[in-house]
Amino acid sequence: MKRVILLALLPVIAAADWPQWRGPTADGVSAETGFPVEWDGVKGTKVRWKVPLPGAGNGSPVVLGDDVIVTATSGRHHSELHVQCYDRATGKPKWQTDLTATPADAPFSMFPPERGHAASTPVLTKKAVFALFGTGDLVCLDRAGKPVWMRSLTKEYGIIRNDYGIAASPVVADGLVLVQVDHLEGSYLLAADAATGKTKWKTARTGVYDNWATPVVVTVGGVKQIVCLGTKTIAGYDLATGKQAWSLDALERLCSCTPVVRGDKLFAVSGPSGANVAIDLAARPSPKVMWQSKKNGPFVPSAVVVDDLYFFTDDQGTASCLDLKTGAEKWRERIGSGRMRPSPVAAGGHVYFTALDGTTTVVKAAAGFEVVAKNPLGEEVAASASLSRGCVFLRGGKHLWCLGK
Amino acid sequence: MFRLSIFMVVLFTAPVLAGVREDIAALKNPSADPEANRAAWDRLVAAGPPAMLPILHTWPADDPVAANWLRTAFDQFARTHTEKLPVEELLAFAADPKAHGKARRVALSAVERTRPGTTVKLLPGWLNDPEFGPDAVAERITAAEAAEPTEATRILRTMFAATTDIDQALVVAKRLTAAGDKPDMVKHLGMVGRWHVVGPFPVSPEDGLKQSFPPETKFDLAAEYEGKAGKLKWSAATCDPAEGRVDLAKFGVKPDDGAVAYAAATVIMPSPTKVELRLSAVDNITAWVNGKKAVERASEYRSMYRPDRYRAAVELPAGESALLLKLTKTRPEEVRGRPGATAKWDFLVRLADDKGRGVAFTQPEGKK
Repeated sequence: MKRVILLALLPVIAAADWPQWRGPTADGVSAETGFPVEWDGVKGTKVRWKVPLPGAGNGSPVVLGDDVIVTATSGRHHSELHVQCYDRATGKPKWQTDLTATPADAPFSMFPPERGHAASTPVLTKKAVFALFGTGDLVCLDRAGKPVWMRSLTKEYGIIRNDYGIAASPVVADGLVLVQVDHLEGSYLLAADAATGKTKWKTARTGVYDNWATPVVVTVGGVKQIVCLGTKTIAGYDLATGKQAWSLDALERLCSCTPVVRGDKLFAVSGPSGANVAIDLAARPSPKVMWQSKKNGPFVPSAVVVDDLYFFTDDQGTASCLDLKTGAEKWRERIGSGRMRPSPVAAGGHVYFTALDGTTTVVKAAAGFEVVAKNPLGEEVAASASLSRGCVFLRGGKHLWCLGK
Repeated sequence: MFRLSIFMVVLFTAPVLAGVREDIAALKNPSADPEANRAAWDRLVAAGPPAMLPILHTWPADDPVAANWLRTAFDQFARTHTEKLPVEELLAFAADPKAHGKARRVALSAVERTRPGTTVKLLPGWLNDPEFGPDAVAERITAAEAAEPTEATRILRTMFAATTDIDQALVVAKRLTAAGDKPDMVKHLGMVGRWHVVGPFPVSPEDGLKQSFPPETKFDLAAEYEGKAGKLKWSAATCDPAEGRVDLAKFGVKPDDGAVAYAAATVIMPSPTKVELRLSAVDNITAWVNGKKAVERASEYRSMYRPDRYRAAVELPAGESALLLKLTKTRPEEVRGRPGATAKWDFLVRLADDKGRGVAFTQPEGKK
């Protein structure tokens, strides 16, 4: 019985779904085609539906089967936590689970957009929803929104003091829920049993402070590792035990961007204004840097890889394309005036760059620069887009949007 | 017939209530077995209205996980059976300032879903409420933004005394000041405004974290210490009256010459008082109250100034109490702030009750 439950909680990765941060392959790429390249949220062009959100948050929507799920927070100091499920075809709310936050540092409020405590993207499996809030509340709900298990990492391990709030999303792999909690006073990587929530292992990340990058699972030499970026360092941990296998000092101080994995190669960037670095994970005796770009990388948006091309944008809206094998620059062009916060996504030979002002610039995923369309939304967007079954899902400041034919 | 009905109700509801009590007790101390928790949760949801008020009255104040097991059971029923909600009882509970704040909020949310607009109607009367006070203030700030200037000032004046949250008090005070008023932020929020400061002690940030200096063992305003460019002496410092922050650099204590500074103050309580010491600083801060360490944040890594970030419950006797702070800078980072900008080195300390309301105290004139 336990085995059945465990299997049911494993992630269901299908090309048509977008069940976690950065999609089915955790790299911002959809293998599907047929997504719209043009829309206009102001005029209502290609807007299939648009629904209000229960609160603030920068986490992306996740899509699996008929469900679209987002997390949000609201109320004074954002102490009300929400997991909201919508029908993917109509946008009609299906269920909402509200939680009371563990008392936490108030969300950082100096610069817009409003952040709240829902910066992490939840993970969906066939049977469960895993959500992590900046208050340290980690919950597993069933697909009807009913609780399976709940934990307060703040209550267990102390208040999370990240000056901007934690943002790394949970990752589900091999029956584990993995959460990277990097903050000012005692960073750690935690693996909880997906079925029960119980800790399988917890590894302290000494000398690591505020970071926001989501870890990625890699397989090197037949062994699964989870790779974390943080405070100048890339580190690999054995997935089964949590023991640190290697580390490499190749980054800047603040790590917001989720790395991209292609086989046994990992592509990472950090900020402020860091270089993109390509890492050979299979190198012996330990991973090594293959190439390093000029120091003009992004601070917040992660990069996206299509074939042998590496696309990214800096935070001011200048996009670049590099040769994945050498790091050589193919093009570098300004694509907009808005600040860039969401990470780009790619599908059907296009890369979608969304700016904080809500404008998505679609370019050809090619070695030559070509803008296909500029699509206004009429609403600020700080969350990255999700792609599923021919629709682009965008989480705006106030609404969840479904854009498609 | 009436007696028979009563008998039947008691006969059939008594076992339900007993079960409800058992399941609430189970979820108030969640099991290590999630399946057992879920079974109790399912039974509670099935029990419906008889479980609602008992859940609220049993709210586990110190266990967020237990609170959420109970809350999600409450909400599950409240969302799906809105016609059966005991609305008046829930409203009475939500209005009781002695009940647990988060439970009151859950009760009010349930009523709000059934009777939209209830919260907006109630908030103006809850300016001084321990749970909903900040919500009421936020609602009044919004109302002031929409009002013409004279009316806006009137609204802001009526609520300044009710603000307990620094961010809200700053907004209200700033607008009142612009309208010609003189709101006293320092007194209102219990900010400790008069200090003596000394430093920087010529030490690296790393050594500064490990090392103790003479002010920690003997406080003497006349003492002098060795500094990088001569003797270090205590000097009087006052907080910015608009925000309550003390900027060490404004009083000659700059991080270029060392990483450690001290600040000392005396507060006088009219009677023995339990207070929440609330403080924040750029980077590190350690606080002693009457010689006893109350708060310590000591890290090689920087920290932003965040109002009320660190808190400790302390008991202050009637009369004088001594506050001593050690402030330790971290090493400057490659990219931080505007190039050439002076590094900030400031702190804020206030004495409040557990809801953030400033407590009354005085400080001696002309001495620490």
